[in-house]
Amino acid sequence: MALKGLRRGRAGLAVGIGLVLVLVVTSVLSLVWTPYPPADIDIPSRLQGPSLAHWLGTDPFGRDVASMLIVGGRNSLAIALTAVFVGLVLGVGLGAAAAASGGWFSDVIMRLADFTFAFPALLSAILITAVLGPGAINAVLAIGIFNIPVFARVTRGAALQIWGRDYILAARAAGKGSLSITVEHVLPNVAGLLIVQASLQFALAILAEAGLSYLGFGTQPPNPSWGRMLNEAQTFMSAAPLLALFPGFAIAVSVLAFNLLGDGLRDLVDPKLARMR
Amino acid sequence: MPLLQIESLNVTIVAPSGNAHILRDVGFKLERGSTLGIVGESGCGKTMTALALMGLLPDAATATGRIEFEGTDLLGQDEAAWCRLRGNRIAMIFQEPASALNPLQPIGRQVAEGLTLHRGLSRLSSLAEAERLLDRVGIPQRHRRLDSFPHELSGGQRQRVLIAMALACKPALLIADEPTSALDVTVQAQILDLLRDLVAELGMALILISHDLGVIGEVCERVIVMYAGQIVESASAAAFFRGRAHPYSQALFGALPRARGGERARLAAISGFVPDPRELPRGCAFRDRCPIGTSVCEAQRPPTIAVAEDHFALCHFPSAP
Repeated sequence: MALKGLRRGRAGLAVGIGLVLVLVVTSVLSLVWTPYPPADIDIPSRLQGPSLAHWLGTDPFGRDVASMLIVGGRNSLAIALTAVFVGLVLGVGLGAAAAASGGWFSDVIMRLADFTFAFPALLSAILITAVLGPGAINAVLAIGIFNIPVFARVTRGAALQIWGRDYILAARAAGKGSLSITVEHVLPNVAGLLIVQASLQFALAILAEAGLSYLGFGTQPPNPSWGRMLNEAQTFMSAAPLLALFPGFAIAVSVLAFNLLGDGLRDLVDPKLARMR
Repeated sequence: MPLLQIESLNVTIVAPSGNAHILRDVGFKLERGSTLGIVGESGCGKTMTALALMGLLPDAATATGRIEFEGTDLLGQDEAAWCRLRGNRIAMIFQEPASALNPLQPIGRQVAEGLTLHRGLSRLSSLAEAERLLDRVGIPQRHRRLDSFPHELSGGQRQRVLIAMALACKPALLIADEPTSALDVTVQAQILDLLRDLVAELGMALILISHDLGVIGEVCERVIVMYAGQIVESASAAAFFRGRAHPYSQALFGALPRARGGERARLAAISGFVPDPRELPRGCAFRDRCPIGTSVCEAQRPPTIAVAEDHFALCHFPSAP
């Protein structure tokens, strides 16, 4: 099975799925067990290197880096998941409505999407969290809002194509209204594309959450997060470079994982694209 | 009162490159339970006539005139009224059975769709009815078939499924747009037989659209020939196949392939092209391709002339049938 996948050039997808699974499993596991409570301060054993007691060492407050990393991952997964979900639900709704109705409604939705695209997502996310105040929920909002136009555009584009199909005409000839055609015929046929887009957006959301937390706008202490771990490690760059390395590595690997997953899924959904490369 | 009466139906598509006159002054009547064939080459307005009847014209198209169906004018009604009518009183079968079914939905659900929508049947009873319908249109192996996906069926079977879908609510009018063009000749004959039987059985009226005169001749009581968005000849099928009055109909007939022993004549093609619907000639639209075209044809629109009882041609110089 795995070999066959490799030969077909689906190694990336396999690696992506594997890494995402590791992330998800450790995150779920951290709900019931972590090597140490991630917020426990233990000054005497501060700034230790990796050892059997502390797999990845300890930070300047003596907290266990491995535990912080695991729980931080859980936090950023949770934020990314809700943010992408918010963007997906609202974006798909707006995009599908735009495709179904056409005319001025579609124009308004798409111009709004263009408008939000005009601002760099992270800058605006910073603005939103600066206005609403820092915190996990506001980070979800800020990241979620910038996922809406992405999903709206992808959905509208794909849905318009489906609306041109004969079976939509047949469904209309059977007396179906736009709403039930959208739900029963259009959305199932664009679902594959949306799943791909969602996994790619997930990677971006993780990056955005790390960025916000690094700046202090995201997950608040004592909840650990990768972004803030990076920030705190900055001060000790020369004394304990590993402290910056681990969260940096975690961010890079999880973004890579979701990108591999998304790319691999896209090749499955649209084999034509895969052959072109 | 006829089931369907169309009067001076005009459809225009407004575009920056000029207004395209897709249908011009189309009018005909259809009694309950009768069959009508519409022939013509691609782009002559056959399908647009059907879509106008279903209220499914493209957004850019505007229709004027009157389409009276069961006593109400359809052109004035809102979308909700159209939805109640479509699939319920008027149903349609499409040309490409391969693409007219949703590839992701089992066929049972697709056939049952109209029943839950228009008859208010529950999911279960609509599926039971769908099973009965699939039986009736000749799709065997009952239980497996309801859960089959379109790709598991052959072209002929898919067309049977589409027929079952269209007939689910026992419409008063069935429009079949080139229902057999995408099928093998042998399957074609079976599907036509099925359509004919069902029309008789349910007392439906049928509008059969085709470019194939053979298909029309086999099924229809009345024939309409369309050219460049106009009806150029209309007659009972019997009269039409005895003799054509319009030069275009005659040319269409001449272009039929004939399989007679050993004879290998070239097909008589109609020379020239259909006029651009954005730049229609002032006089007769067929003038440039017509073997008998005169200066009168170029200058004046042809009148509709009755060449015999109930046999009309849109021509300055129709032949006597």
